[in-house]
Amino acid sequence: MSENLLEVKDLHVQYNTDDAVVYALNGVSLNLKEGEKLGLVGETGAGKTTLALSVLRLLPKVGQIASGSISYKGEELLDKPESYMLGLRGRRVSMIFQDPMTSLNPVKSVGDQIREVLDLHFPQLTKEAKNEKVDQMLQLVGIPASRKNEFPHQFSGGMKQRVVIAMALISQPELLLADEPTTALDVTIQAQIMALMGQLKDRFNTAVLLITHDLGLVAEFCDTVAVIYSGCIVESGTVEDIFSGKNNHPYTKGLIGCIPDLSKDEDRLHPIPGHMADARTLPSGCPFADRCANAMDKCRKERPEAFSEGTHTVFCHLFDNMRGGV
Amino acid sequence: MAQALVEAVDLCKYFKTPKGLLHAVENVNFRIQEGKTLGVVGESGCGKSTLGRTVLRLHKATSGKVLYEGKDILSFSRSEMHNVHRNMQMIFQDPYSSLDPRMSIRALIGEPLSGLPRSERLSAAEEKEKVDAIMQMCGLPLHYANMYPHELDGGMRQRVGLARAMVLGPRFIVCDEPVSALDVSIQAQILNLLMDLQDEHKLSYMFITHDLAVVRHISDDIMVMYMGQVVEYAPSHMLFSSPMHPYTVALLNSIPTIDLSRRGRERITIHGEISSPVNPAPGCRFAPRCPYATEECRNEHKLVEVEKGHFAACTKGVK
Ligand SMILES: Nc1ncnc2c1ncn2[C@@H]1O[C@H](COP(=O)(O)OP(=O)(O)O)[C@@H](O)[C@H]1O
Ligand SMILES: Nc1ncnc2c1ncn2[C@@H]1O[C@H](COP(=O)(O)OP(=O)(O)O)[C@@H](O)[C@H]1O
Ligand SMILES: [Mg+2]
Ligand SMILES: [Mg+2]
Repeated sequence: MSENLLEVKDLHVQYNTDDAVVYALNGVSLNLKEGEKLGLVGETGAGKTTLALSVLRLLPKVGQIASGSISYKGEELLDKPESYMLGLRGRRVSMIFQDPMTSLNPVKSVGDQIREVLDLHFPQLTKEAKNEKVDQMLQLVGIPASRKNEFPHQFSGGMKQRVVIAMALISQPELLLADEPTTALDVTIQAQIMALMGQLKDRFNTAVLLITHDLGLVAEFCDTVAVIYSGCIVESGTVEDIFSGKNNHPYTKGLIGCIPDLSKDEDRLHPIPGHMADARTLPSGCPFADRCANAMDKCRKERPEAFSEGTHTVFCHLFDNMRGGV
Repeated sequence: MAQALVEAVDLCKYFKTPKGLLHAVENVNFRIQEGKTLGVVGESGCGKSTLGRTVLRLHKATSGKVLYEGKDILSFSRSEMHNVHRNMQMIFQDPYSSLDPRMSIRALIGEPLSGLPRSERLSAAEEKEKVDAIMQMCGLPLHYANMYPHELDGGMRQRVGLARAMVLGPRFIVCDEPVSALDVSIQAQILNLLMDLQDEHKLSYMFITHDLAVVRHISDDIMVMYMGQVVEYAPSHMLFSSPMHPYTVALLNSIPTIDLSRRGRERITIHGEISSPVNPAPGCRFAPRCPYATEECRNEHKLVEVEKGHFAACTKGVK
């Protein structure tokens, strides 16, 4: 088995806003191996983007990493100077955002924007070599190189996202943080983009952290899964562990239950009652206790410990009596 | 067959654009019975919203008819239309943009009542009672009445949008992507609410979405659109069990699923992208992206009843 590329341990991140402290991540741990595709799933506000921004140390000013550790190839990123991060971002670790315009400059041609990544990280390359790489990369993501002098507004949403992917991958990063890369796209375009990301992953052995609220996308694209709720990982494992329907966390079970089942003619859907608690208060026990049909007294008081079977880990008191030993 | 509540006959909506005439909605026909739902699916830009708005006369149709209880409302005068509009309402993907941020939830829900003719005006007390009842019906706790839109989350705002649509007691609602911006757990709550309201009030819906998974549950019939054309129209179960048009098949195949046994299924990737139907050539607009396209696809695009109730413009998607 390969080494962990990224290890996040007990990460606590908060936003210190004018009116309140928002507890966005409350002790998140996860590991990602080289070349692995990990799906981070959870609903809006669960802390997914915060996690990705923390890894790159790109949190906004009000954001603060309160405690924990993020190590990348064995190096503690939280101790590194900004100059170290500059060499990492866009070179060894790239990020794709949901809205491609977050990464694109509206007044520069797409070719120039892709080439700038090379200017920054590979200044030793000749101009010709750079141009050739840009052309190749565009072709790889399905854009004719002849369109490189066009501007972002001349491209459709799907095409812009391809440009962003080209920018993210031209430096052949070891890790790609993809934050809802296809959420704004139609399903047939999503299928194209995911197929493309899969091919590129196979070609460059890039590890991927795929952030999404779409369980189906994770089941189809990823090797492993972490389910996040209110800034806490509640369950993790291989795709098989999570989607075989055995020993799921009640929240995961609820999420799966909300998905309309295309193979059945059933009428009613099964929503999870209520909604995610406001992140301005720290959960005292299990963050999901208030919405959980199986919640017991201790669920509201004590944070559940991990229950693990092989690669599958669940944080839920329902599994307390199955835990051997301590 | 019983008279449909809402029916469209050869409905077309074209927009004049600098590049030419954009055929946003082309020759659309449908019938929606009382208490039933027509799902309209297709990818962005295919003409779903334009169709919904044209049916409600929020856009002026280029040609064709919209029948409400058998009468062509496109020929109605303003005052005749006023009555029809009480019965035909619309809810949107982002209710926030249609809610005045300075109005309280109570005022927002009561607002449509102020447009009632003098003879039907409610007293302040009656209005309060009415709004309370509608809030309850839409699952809005009464203490929300004095709050403002920005204090509500997406699911609650959608309930407010729905309450505003319900307050005049409509019989038909165009639901334009009402759950597309919501998280799955909230989506399911709103879909269930829509289905409950339908059962209780015999409502008819036109349910517009780009998400096939969502539409299956709520729809009796489904219409699949591509660049303004209807490519397939069938009862929901038939469309899912035996899709015929290559575009429908590709769309169904593209939905990611958590069913691991389908992980290794043969992928039908359709290449290229949707463009806009400006001065389109006759024939099937999906043909440039279609893996099965032949010369004959340039012929006139027409829906054919392939099996009882199941209409398709092409059956090349059948294996
Ligand atoms: N700049 C910010 N200031 C204050 N709160 C924030 C900020 N960014 C995110 N948050 C809050 O942090 C929590 C996690 O947000 P986020 O990481 O964006 O979640 P996700 O990506 O899963 O939707 C939410 O409660 C969100 O409102
Ligand atoms: N007011 C308008 N003027 C010109 N073109 C329009 C207008 N509204 C929509 N369109 C065009 O009509 C087509 C259908 O749009 P729309 O009905 O919004 O699609 P959908 O709701 O399926 O995403 C698109 O090509 C769109 O650009
Ligand atoms: Mg996010
Ligand atoms: Mg629309």
